[in-house]
Amino acid sequence: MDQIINILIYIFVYVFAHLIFFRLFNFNINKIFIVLLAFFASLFILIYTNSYEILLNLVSFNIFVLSFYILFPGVLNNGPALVIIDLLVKNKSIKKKKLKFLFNKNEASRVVRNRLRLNLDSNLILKKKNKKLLLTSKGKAIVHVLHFIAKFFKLKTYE
Amino acid sequence: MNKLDIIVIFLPFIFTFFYALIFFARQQINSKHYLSNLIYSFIFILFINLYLILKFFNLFSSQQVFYIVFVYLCSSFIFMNLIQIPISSLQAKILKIIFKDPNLTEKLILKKYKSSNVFEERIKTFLFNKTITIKNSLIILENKKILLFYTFLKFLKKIYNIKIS
Repeated sequence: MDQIINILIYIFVYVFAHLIFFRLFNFNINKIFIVLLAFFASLFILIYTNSYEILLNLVSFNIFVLSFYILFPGVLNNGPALVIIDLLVKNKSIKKKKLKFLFNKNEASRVVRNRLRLNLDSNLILKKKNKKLLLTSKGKAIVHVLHFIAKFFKLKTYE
Repeated sequence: MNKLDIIVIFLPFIFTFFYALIFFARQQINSKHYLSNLIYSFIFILFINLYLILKFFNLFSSQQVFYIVFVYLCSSFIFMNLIQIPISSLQAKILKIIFKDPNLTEKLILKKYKSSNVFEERIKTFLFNKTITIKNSLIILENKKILLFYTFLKFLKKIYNIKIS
């Protein structure tokens, strides 16, 4: 039971530290660097202690950090789907025209511009001198992986 | 470490692998309701997970039980997100658009992908997976399962002081 309390404390401390940094210093510590740092620190602790109980706790903690890393962009950014659902929850039944009007008023309507910027900032897209956009090798790899997932699981992607 | 200890380490990942397999099988039968397939496959494996834990309860320590359930929940969450990316991620969609047409400029994309287009596309997606229905020209939220995700996200946004609209 002590070990369960320990892992819950680790998780609570991580989320609390993230919340404090985000709200007080406007700094998001949820970066790939932190995920890797947690992983390598865990590996080091594991080699040092060689304990089965600690191994279970560290796997749990690392998988939580990874899940949180995946979850947080969804919390930070308002996607168009979330905005539409939010408008539908607030207005139980609404005409499409009005819904469209409310959606266009929202910040999320500029979502394409924001995501394009995000892709450029994360080096997934390159802007050539003639202003044409090109995928980097990282971007191409992501497209291939996503195409494989969609095909393998028969997912409809609306292209 | 005995054999059981080693099995326990891999058990939640094996359960997640079976979750992916069941989702794959359900998608082959009916790919129209991917969200239901994703949720029901997850619940089905979670029940098997809990049933096996209860059956062999005296073999596991409380920490191992917690580990098996917790790691299964987290790795399933990662799998669900992986499935969601090709369907609903706009960032991924922009990459696909540029991959298909390398002559696009930023201006052209923004012109082609106006907010009204994004809206229409999301409505089309919601209608296809029966999240919403249109009755007497009124849009109604039909799928109540989505409200679970919505409530969870809204709660997190409130903690982090991020407004939706």
